[in-house]
Amino acid sequence: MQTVDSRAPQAGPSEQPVAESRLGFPAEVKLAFTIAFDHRRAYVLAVAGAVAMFALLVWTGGFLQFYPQTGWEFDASLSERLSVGVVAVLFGALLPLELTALSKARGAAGAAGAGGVLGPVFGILSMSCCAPLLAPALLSFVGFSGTTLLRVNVALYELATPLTLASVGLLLLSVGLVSHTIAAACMLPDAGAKKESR
Amino acid sequence: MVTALQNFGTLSGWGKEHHNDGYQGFKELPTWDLHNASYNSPYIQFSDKEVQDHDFQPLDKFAPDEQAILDKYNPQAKWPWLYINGQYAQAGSGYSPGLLQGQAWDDVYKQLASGTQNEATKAINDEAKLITQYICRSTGGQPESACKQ
Repeated sequence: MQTVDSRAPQAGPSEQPVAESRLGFPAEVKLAFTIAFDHRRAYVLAVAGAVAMFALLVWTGGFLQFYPQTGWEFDASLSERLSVGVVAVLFGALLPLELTALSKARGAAGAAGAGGVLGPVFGILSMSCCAPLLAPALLSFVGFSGTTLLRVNVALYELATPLTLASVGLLLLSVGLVSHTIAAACMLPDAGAKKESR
Repeated sequence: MVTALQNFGTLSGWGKEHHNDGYQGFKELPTWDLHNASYNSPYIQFSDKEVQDHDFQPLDKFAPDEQAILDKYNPQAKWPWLYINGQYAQAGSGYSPGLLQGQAWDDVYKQLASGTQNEATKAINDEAKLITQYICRSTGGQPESACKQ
């Protein structure tokens, strides 16, 4: 007769679950940021990305105006300024994370699961679909013009708050998913080595 | 624009309006309500279209010929937009709205009527002169009372 002692380990130390399942979401994000911002060039990339996104949003939003009498002005409401700032900072933070995810997950395809694919997708979605400041420029780019764009602008102005929140939400989701990708990819070589040692 | 139009005819039926506090980061801005205004002039015709009211609700619709002009000359839908006789177009305000922010409509109107000189009245009068010059080129310099200034 065989008895099973529930207190006895079911597997050796080498078969412990991989770290991706042990880490909570905040720890994954912290780990991903630590890895992604390990080098100085990541900070440079983040700042450059944030500045570029800030400039793009300011330009497409038409916030920077020149008046002959008073010169250049930044004409934007408080909520518009906050939107531009938050989206630009999140985009800047996302860039090094995306690059790290790409390089780390290259050798561990599949390990990242849906997060590996969805992270960048949500990042792009947040910029292209739900950033009300970018939508008019994008629609103009694909051929919308004049009166059609005016009607879109009026509708967008009414929906500016929920669209901005959706945009920020998708960016945060993207940061979370990419962080999961990085955390998972970084644990796999270790887990694989342990499996081989059995 | 209203000051310029008055050089060529008579504008009636207008009202007082304002942009909401906080719009584009400015305090409340006094402006004209020309939605129900009519304009009589032996020299020019005037058409005003208000895309939305100050609560951002859609207001006027464009006639097909107006749509064609907007699509051709204002593809990025910048607003306010001024179009004069197929010769001139201006996107955006000619002066900073900040010069008028927080001022009461009647105060600005009285300052303009009395010839008070300050940054706001100077900006409005300069813009009116510019628009008047554009219209004068379309009317062949008529009337002289407006175009010889």
